[in-house]
Amino acid sequence: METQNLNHSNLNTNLKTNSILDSDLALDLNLKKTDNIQIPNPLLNFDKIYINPKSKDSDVAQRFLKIFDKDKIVFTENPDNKNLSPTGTLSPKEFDLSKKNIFITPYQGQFFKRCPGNHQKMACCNYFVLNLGLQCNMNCSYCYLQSFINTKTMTIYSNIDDALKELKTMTEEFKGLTFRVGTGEVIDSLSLDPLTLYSHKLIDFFKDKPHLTLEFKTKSNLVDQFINQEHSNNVIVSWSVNPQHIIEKEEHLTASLNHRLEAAEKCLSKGFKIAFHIDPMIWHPNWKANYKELIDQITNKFSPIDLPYISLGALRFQKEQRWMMKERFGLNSYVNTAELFEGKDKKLRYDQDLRNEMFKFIFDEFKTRNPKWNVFLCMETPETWLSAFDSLPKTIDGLESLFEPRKSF
Amino acid sequence: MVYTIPNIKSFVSRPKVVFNNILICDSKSPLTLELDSKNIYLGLHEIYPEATLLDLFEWISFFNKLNIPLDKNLLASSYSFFWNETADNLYSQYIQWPEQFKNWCKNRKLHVNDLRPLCLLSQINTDSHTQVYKFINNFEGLKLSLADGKKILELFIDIYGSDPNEYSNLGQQMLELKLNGEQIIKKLNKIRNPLSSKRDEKKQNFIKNTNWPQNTNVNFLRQGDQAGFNISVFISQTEQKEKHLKNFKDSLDKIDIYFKNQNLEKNI
Repeated sequence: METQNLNHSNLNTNLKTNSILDSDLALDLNLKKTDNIQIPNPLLNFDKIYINPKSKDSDVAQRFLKIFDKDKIVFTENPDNKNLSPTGTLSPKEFDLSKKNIFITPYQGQFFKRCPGNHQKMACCNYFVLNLGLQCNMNCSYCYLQSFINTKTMTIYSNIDDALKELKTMTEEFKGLTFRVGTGEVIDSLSLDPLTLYSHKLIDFFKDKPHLTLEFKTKSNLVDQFINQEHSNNVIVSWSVNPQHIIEKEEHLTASLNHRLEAAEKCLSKGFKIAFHIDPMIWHPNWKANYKELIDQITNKFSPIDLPYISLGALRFQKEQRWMMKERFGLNSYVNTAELFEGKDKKLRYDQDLRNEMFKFIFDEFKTRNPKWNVFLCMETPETWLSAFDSLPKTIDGLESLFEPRKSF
Repeated sequence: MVYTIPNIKSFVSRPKVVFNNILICDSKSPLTLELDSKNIYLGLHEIYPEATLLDLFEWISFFNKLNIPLDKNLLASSYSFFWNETADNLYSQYIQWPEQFKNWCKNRKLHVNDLRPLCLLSQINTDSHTQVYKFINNFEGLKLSLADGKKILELFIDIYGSDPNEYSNLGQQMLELKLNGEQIIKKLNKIRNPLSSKRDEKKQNFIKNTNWPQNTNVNFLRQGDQAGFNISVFISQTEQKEKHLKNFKDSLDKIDIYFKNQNLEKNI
């Protein structure tokens, strides 16, 4: 088994990243084995593991207690999450620190939420979000968590069994409807999975519910821990992908493109469905050549039969987030030099003409290789759909079912 | 010698308040209340219940100059702020800001987030940012509105921070051109966003170089992330409805050709 080959990029800034994130993960070949699951060493580098006493008996807390040294474990209900900056959010340093400490605690409230695109003036795919935690151990410059995280720790929810109960009730209430459930909205679905093993619980739950679809969304290549789990072909493992050049410049500490594609091949060979999200597309001087190369790499390894869909999205983030991005990644990163304007949803986006050009380029590149590729846009306005693809999602072959209106919950 | 706190308040009925020979609050009353290092924070809050982070910076800097360091955390927390890295960073910048700029900030009631561009100066590797300070010290003289000043500050630091050597004289150049706020924004925008400026300019040139039908006015309009054309037809009487519709349609056709040509150019 290979280690998680996370990218150790050269931050083109004078900012310091924290020690976990600084280690040269690609060279770190030591693995710890717990419950027959190999854990890459970078995942063992957290400074502290805070456990809410209410979560002590949960499977996930018990696993962490087994994996981590005692001196790293602290039982507390409040791991210093109260103090906020004068602006009401975390300072850049506090945000970095929040990636070094884990807090295992029950989630209070409703687990299932509809995908944010559904609430705005966007054409969006019916999709439900299950949050397994909050914060990410990787460090993408554009990450939207920078705009709203206000706790100084990375949270892992200990009561996933409650979420599954909630999902069971929901599916019983709306019998006959298909559900897509994704886990990668505010935490990467798999980058901590060798520690939490939530993939096991989820795949097991979905095993006898073929009308439901589970989607993992990741920028890691950590799939070995679940690859041999029995499933009923309703699990999609999806990767957010970008050209290697962008991964190196903007997606710090994520797996390289090659490693992501290899992990996808591995999943495919075990009967899992796979998907790619080319999102966020980031404009840069050599964007056409680099994205063309990305499409070559995808289409050389996979066929349209292997991938039910490929979604596209372009750089976008909340306006307030720009300060955190500039302070953490400097003024010369692609995301911080991007020419952005406030869109209808109040997020900063590229000019619509440029977005159309970028999407159309990707769409045409796929279609000229094979017209059977299904490419659609994520979190985009109907105008962009029309400009880039000359049609709305519900009228595109292969995408109708994804965009079929559902009852609201 | 007795010093007075900046922008001191004066009361008629309250006693004078003093801390370490510094007059915190003036009064005509013969009574004087002396604060110590423990109750100064509560005392300040009692006398000045509303203070911005910039007011706190001013006090901290004033007391520091008199070698009486205030506890920043205690002072901030008495005003429900939390003194952290961002506050520290802003404060270290604040003490270098020129006085006129500080006045502009105070007069325009700037919020902490409005000043975030200046936080970025601490990341930029140059010996000093004298040229930046020289430029921002003119905000008051240029009578910049809050909105224009905020926009200029952000664009300016974005450009300067991307290459401090190349843009070391940017502020001076802007001042020499003797522009108003709107014109400065336009100039800076062109440097900060060259590609979209070029795209917008192309549309504007198309409008300028096209013969539009009579009574038809076509303007360039940017609405957030969308840039396009605004067509208006002047109507004084409805009898010529067909003619107006034809003018409008002719304008649309010209715009349609423009977009088609633009798409062709992209695909070449």
